[in-house]
Amino acid sequence: MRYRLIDHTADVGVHIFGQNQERLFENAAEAMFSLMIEGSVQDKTETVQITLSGDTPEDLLMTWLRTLLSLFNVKNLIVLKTRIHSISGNSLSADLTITPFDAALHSIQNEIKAVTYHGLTVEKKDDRWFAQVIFDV
Amino acid sequence: MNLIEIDPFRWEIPKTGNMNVPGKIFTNQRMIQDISIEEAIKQVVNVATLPGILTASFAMPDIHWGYGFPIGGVAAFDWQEGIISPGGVGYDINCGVRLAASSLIEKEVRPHLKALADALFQNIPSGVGSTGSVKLTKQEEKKVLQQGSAWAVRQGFGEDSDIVNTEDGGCMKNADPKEVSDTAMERGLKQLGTLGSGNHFVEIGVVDEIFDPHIAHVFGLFENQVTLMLHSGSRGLGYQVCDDFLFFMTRYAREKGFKLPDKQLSCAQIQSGAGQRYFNAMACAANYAWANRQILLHRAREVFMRVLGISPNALSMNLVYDICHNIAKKETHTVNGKKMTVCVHRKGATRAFPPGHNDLPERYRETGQPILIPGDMGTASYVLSGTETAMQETFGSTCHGAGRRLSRSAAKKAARGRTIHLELEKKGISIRWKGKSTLSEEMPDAYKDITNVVDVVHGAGISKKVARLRPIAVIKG
Repeated sequence: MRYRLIDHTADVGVHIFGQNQERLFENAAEAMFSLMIEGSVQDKTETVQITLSGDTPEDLLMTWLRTLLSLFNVKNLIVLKTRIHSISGNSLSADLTITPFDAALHSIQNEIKAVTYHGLTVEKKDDRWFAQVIFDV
Repeated sequence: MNLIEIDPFRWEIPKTGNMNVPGKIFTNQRMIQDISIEEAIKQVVNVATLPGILTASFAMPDIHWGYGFPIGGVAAFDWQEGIISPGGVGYDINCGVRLAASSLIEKEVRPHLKALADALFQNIPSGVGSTGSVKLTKQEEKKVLQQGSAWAVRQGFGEDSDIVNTEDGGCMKNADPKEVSDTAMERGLKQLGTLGSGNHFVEIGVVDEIFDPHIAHVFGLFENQVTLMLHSGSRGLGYQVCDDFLFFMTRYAREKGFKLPDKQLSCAQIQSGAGQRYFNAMACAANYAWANRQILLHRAREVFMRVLGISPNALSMNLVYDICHNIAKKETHTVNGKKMTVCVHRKGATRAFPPGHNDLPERYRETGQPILIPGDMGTASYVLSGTETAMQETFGSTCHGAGRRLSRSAAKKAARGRTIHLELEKKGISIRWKGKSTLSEEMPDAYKDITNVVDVVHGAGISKKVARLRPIAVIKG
């Protein structure tokens, strides 16, 4: 399982799993966009590269998700796929496959106002990575 | 957790551990047993640990689990020693409600109700990411952030009397657009004059019952009167301001070594540079929200006049009041017999200033301010008035709405196999909506009983019941 929705009275929470931190972060991005957008047929896709850093693993996850959410909110771009090359010392570099939002192809399921710090966790349990994120919708 | 019943409407969480003040919850026996309240009560306790908090960490009867601060929470901080917290205001800065009352009665409007609902739905952009009919330049957007409602009225969206009948005259004067990020500015450019999604709405209602005839008269309300209620906020610009400052203050709190029980409570001393920057950016978003609701009211007035074929005078859709739900305000209150300047955070709570308060417009000095409490879309909304008890006890604050009872997914499950819009039509309520899951997530069963919530604040004396409104048409984003 890559992620699972959890119940929260006013908002939407997600538990995210990954075999390593890179996959965990990719799965978190997938969870966020699948909550927001339905529909996947694409013609015009483009790949862009980004690098980000944070102070802690939680801070890096927050920075990662905020950056992707901002692409949608400000530039009207959907992130279809992410590929994280590596995470080290709370820095990451990644390729993002993006496409412009098109009302004919996509429908919006939930408006995510923000990624919240409420209950935000990133941890390694045995050999698996786990994260919890609550979105304000 | 130790919860002590003080009287039928008040519960107290005694001060223990790191709490600087006790917790105080306005509720009743029935609502306190709702187990979903547990997490929210923990959040009341967390807020009580913040530096400079005064008197108590308050929760209103519509309390529910938020992030950091509970929704339905009120906390006041010493202006000199205390903190300000973006999470104590929320993402939708100055999300709020305005109520306008027309000179029409229900039977004059009923025959045109479907046409009115259709026209409101067409003319008021709603739904996720909707863009408005008002196109701004960056220069003009800065003026919106500085001037609020007055900007909208100057552009022809409304009348001078609308400004008078808005909390703070629709403008927080400390607004400083320099503190608003480019991203937030970008998000604000295209969304002015839009309703948004989720629980935001436009509602045509009818005054169903009057509890206090004198105050209702002063508020311009009479039985069978047709009203218009709007619920919206500062849209993407406000979310971004909150997000930017939470991000910034989380790092700031870590650097300063603050011990916070929840990162979403990140904050800064009001007197610090960071605190002042947030306060001035928040005011920009608050002003944007007031301009937004002013434009929405203007659009709704236009729709009524066009569909009914009547003049502005025949419609007389006068603004009763406009109030904020999510805000931090600099106010003067008496604490332990001493006048103090405080920063009151109301997150999912409403100001409830009493008769005689200097900040109220002349017409409401005798009655106290109008308080507008929307219920769910199938039940009722209430108009209350502010009281001296609220001023003395809750820093002039009261509840803000019904408060969610079911999570969004639980609501969707409960709605399976049902046709919510037909259920509402049977009750005489026309409904138009945009989002696919809006109706099931926002259905009446998802919310607490508004009457119960209002009875608590009335019974506790922190507001006074004036009138009840019944919805007849609802537009949802």
